[in-house]
Amino acid sequence: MLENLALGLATVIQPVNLLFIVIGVALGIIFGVIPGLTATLVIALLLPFTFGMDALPSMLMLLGIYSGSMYSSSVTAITIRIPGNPGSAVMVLDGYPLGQKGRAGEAIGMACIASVAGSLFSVMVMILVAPVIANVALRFSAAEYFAIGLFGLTAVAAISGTSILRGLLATCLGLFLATIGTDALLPAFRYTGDMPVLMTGVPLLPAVIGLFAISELFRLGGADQAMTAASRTIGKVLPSAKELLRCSKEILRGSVIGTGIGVLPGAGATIASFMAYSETKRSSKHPETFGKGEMKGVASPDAASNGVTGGSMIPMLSLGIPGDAVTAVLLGALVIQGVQPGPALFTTQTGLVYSIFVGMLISALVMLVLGLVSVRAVASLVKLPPHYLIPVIALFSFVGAFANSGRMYDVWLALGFGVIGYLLERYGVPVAPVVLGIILGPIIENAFRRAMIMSGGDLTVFLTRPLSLAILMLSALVILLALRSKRTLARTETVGV
Amino acid sequence: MDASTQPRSELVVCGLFAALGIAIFLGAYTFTEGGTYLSGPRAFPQGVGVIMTVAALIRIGLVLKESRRPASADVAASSEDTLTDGIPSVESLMRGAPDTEVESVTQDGAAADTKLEAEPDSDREQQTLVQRLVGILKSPGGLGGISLAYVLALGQLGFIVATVLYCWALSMLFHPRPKRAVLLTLVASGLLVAIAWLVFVYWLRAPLPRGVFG
Repeated sequence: MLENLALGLATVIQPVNLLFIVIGVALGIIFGVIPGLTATLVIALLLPFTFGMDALPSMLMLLGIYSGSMYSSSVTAITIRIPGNPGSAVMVLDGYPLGQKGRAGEAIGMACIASVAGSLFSVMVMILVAPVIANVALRFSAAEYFAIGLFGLTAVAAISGTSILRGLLATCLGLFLATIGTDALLPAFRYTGDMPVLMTGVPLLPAVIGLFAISELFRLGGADQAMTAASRTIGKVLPSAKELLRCSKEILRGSVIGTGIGVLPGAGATIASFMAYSETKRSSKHPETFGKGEMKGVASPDAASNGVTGGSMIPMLSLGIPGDAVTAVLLGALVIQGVQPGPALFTTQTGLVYSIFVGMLISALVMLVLGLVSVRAVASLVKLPPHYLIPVIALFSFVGAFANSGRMYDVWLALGFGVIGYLLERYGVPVAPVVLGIILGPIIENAFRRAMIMSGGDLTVFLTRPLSLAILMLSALVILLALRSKRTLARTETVGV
Repeated sequence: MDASTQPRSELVVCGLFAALGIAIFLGAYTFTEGGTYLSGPRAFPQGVGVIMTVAALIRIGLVLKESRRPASADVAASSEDTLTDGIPSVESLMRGAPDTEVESVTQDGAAADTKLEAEPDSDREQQTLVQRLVGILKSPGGLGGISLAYVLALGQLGFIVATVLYCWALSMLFHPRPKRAVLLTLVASGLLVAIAWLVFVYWLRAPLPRGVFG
């Protein structure tokens, strides 16, 4: 492993790779600070910029965007009480009161340091755990892959808001879209309506751009959000050494929670940050200080939300299963580059995998420098008015859809998915499961059919193989836990507590 | 769906999903069959169709059951939007604080914009035809229409002309003082398109639609 890491380091420290890490983190910080631009949306918007690049620099840039936007979305929560994305929603509770006390800079600085610590911790766990899981997964047969595919779908239970049934409907839509085109195993056309353009299936990129970016464009217009920003006193940026020491235990707590939650399919940054906040408050000797500007209430959830980044990469890289919407888009980016994540990736593309590991570590360090240096400039970006933001989203959405294939068909498809995405969200159906369905559909179907061919149509093959049975039982457990937490969520209107 | 959303619209959405599920199931009979049923091309989509239909019907049943609840239960349910453990919901946090806008009005130059948005109903009746048209165009349906026109124009007018016009239209629509910003938004749109052109055509070597102007 150390040899591979050294090889990865030698690759990543090449100037071009370092440059793309810096560009990625900077873009993530810049875009992530704008309210409404979530990490998923930012990556979907900037994905087309990676078409002309090699797999490694493009992944380094996208991962930099991921980390950078996760951190900077806390800036708006602290300065104007509008979280940049749901993962930083809990930052409002203590970050904003700190801002009101003129300690916004310190709170942002603490958020940056905690984010970096969370990222570093989770990436180190990923380096240790992901190859082990991939090694076990190399022994998987079609039955295990089918079970793993279903396990990936359990993410739907967590990313479906308050209704799992609506999430299931969206997943089925994605699974159906994935079946359109030429059959993978037999010479048969499915739902193509004799249209040649549909024979290659529904491309992922226009679907991602349409569902996330173009639907957001319609939503922003409908909401007519003024996105007004309050200019605040930022104050000093670095928290004192004493404050850092006081919060160090909470940063570690948040990092552990974030990494653990990140590994679970679909749990994501929102649950991780709320759980970290809740645990920090519960274990505090002075819980009454929370909600009034307690620095620990900033440190712990921010470490958790960034701890998710490394955690969620573990199933994505080692099993080829995206744990949430962001990793689904990242997985799509790798596939577009001709790289198929999964256990085989660790043997066929060892250099790429370990370069990604090292790249994520360096990204975290770059984020520390850029994050602290740019606090004042980033805080002013919060004021970007909608009459500039909306054309930018629109332009990059449509151009991105076209540039991938050079076909107007993809632009129409992106527009169509935009309308579908807007309508789905308008009527309470989440869009992320649609993408999950499109990605996991072929994995699940092909594994199922191969298992049926090998077992002579015996459906019990999924239960008689111990590994397959164990994964299916784990999936059932995850769903049961999600159902239980949903019931609590619906009853109390709170999350993660 | 939000609590405020009408159950009727959810019934329609679930009804559409149920119909789509049935269509997926029946549509699979048009495939050329091969191998056994379980290893052939029909089984998986038909399974998806069945699950979609069943999930939609269960949801319809739940919505109907909910709608039969006495009104007092709804009041009780709405009162549950309170804090537990002192930690509010993500939704309430994402909405932002009530005092945020007040502060932004007092501290920022955007006060005028906010005032415009807070126009009372009586004033709305006096809106001119242009203002009403702007309101329609800014709605999701209006933006969808503009985007549809843009995609149609993209193939005919080419990337540069169509996109400058599209971005300019969007900029003007969302500008708080559009009359004063005609030139500024046009220049900004031109710059944005120029940057996109340079990045995609010269850096990424990705061709963009040229249209009739070549």
